[in-house]
Amino acid sequence: MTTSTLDAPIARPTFDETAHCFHCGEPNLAGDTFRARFDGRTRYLCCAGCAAVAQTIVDAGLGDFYRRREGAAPRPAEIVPGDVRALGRYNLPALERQVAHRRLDGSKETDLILEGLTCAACAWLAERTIGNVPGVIEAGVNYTTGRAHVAWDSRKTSLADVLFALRRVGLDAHPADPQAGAAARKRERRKRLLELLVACLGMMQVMMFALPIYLAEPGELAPDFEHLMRWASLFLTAPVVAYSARSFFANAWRDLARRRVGMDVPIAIAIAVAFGASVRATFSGTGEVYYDSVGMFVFLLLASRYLEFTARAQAAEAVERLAPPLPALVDRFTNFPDTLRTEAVPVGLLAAGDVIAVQAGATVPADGVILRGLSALDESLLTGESRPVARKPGERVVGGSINSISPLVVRLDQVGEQATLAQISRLARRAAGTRPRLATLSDTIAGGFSALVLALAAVTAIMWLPAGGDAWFRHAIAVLVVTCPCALALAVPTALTAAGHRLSRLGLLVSRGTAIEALAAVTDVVFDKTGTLTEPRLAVKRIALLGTQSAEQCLACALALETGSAHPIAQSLAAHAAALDVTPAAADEVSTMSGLGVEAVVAGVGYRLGTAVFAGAIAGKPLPVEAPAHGAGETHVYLARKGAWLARFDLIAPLRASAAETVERLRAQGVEPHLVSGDLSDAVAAVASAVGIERAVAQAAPADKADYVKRLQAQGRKVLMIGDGINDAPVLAAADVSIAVADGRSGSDLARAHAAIVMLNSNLNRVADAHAAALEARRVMRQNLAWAIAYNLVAVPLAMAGVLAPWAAALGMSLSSLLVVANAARLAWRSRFES
Amino acid sequence: MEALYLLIPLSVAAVFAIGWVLWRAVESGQFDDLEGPGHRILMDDDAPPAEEPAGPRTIV
Repeated sequence: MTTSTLDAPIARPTFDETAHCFHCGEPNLAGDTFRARFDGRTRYLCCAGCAAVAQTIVDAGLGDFYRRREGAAPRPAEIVPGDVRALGRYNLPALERQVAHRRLDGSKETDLILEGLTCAACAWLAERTIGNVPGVIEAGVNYTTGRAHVAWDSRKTSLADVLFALRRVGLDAHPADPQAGAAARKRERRKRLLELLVACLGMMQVMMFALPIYLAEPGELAPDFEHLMRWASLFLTAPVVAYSARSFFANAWRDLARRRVGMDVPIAIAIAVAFGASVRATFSGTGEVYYDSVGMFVFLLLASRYLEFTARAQAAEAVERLAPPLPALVDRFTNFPDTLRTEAVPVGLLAAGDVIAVQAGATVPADGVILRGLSALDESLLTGESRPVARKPGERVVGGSINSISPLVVRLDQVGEQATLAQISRLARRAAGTRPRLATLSDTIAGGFSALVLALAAVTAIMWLPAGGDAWFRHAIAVLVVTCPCALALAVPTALTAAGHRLSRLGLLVSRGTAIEALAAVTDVVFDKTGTLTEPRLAVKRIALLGTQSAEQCLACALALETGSAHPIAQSLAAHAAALDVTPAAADEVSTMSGLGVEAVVAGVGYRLGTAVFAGAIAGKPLPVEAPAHGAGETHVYLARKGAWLARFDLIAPLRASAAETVERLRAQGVEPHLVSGDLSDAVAAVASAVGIERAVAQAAPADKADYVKRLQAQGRKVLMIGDGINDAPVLAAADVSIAVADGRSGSDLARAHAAIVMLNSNLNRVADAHAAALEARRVMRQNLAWAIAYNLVAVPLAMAGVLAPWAAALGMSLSSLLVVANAARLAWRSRFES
Repeated sequence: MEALYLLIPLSVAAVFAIGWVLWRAVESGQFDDLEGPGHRILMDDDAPPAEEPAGPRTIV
């Protein structure tokens, strides 16, 4: 009995060129098996999916994508027949009506959210690919938002064709929900931009006129020209006050009606009074005019509000992009068991008592009871473990679990809000709702500040009355203008926008405004195990030979038994076989015993693949004694044939390469790591020691995880939670800030919706990078706030003392705002901490 | 210097004209995507791509 050990990388000579996949950049374990030709040279790819995509791109004449892209493309999923059917559902009238809009000329249009865009070249690829589909009339991609606008002639092509074309070049897309706020955001953005542009024009031109008046010696400038310029300034400033500044007046009016002094009240007063006095002075021909101050004031305020709006829109867009694609259609039996005909029904229309068919690989849409079929279900939604649990007729299934092996007929009994999935979602929503509100805090502060400003202006006016003339007015206006909370208002949003920008370049989408501040304050980080610290898929770690056949022969047999199964074990065997270039043998009379294994006949001999007991039944002998020791947390699958043991496959969820390094870095940054998982103790302990985490908890249900976090918070600690599965949703919402790892695993849509930050790649180092970026952002925010306060402390006494003219006050305010913005801007480009 | 009597009102009119042009530009969506056109210019090639010879391809 010999044993040989095969570890993951293959014993083939690797050339430099075959070390990494040309398309997705991941390590290429397949050597030179998959090839494509580009730019006159042969390129090597890691799998059939990447090869097909690369060849499609080159054949379509879009090779520029490879020349111009800035990084690796995401790994495309192989297109299987099931995908064609799934995409084809977008053509059904019920679904298409929800997303596509019919235009006057009969063509249809829709907005698509593109996934997997990592750089401008990807967006370009998407645009050209959609445009190349015959029958498409318009195709335009917005590089900033990552959305595509498509219009097509419904007689020549369809939405499914477009989506399929995108899939073939490795890009995923789904139609945007027209109800979401995208259209409203676009309208608002345009409105604000126009207001800003009008204010900008007015301000610039009025300054042109104001400059000669300031620079001229008394008597040098003819009074006629001065009057002309004042009138011109009036006509240029009037649109600014009437159009650009109307939101300030509206807000101030609303606040005053509610007997509150909001931030806009002093602003509205300053603008109205300054403009009114200037108009009067222009008509009467005497006194000072303040058109330039008014213009600058409005422009800078609008600029800061625009930046704030951009930050909020960014967050909203991130949330929309993460929202799960439109609900799938389900096959419902029209009259079970009399007929086996099914109709396609949207999930939302299902009711208790409906009998549905759940295919292998499909998600169970709601809770119910199995009527027919034997299968195993991936219930990671409740347990966090993707090892499927066997189920037979009469047993319950939970909505959200994935059917792994064979089709099931299920009668639903709890749909909609009653279903388990909905309940977990409710739990998470409730937890999210109890977070502290930073918004109301800043509102009250702003209210107090504004009242103070008004009081100071009044005091100044009174102080200067005895001096006579215009002085009281000038100085009061100067006080109002100089204390404009511009720098204060800009201090935080600019830093958050810049930091959010930097994080999105790292592949982290921030969907909640408070996330970055919370991330900077974090003291502890809680990791989930499966799918976070480890890859979500099983991989073959070792093939221990128990008989005389070679590893490749055993693998070929095992694969023969598992052909066509969606079981994670089958997938891991298939992946290993592909890497070793092993082709499966042909198997007959395949029969599956859920929870036990698979039995089949290969070349006339009976084989069994499964648990030790199951396989032992056909081997007829006890296990060989010298079978090598097991590692902790491994899944063991035995292969035996009639009369002989053949092999044991050791499968493990491999640790992510970046896990240990990330834990180390976070600890160095002062964040204490923890590991809390629903898996068994020995597996958890193995991972914890491999990664360097001392505090680990195993066999934790979702409620236990949330309790662990709450206990830490009760000690005054701030917790960052990193997870991926649906059962993490309540914890993700309870933590101070959460990151969901979402590199393509389908079951984590809920987690993405409840996490504050979503990580679109699998490099855990990005978490440490994000923490560093958040710390820097917090530093910048504090610097900005300190500057804004210091500036006010200096400038207000100066204005009250009458040293500052209104135009100087406006200038000083604008310079301080610029400083704040510039300080924040350097956040967006610093890459010192990126690994 | 009398020219100023003409130039100053003219400049006001010019600013209004510019304002109108900008309004048209914003409403027609030219400011919606500020990055895309830059990238598009660089990426779209006028010259037709050279035909890639259908060399050996192995897709398992």
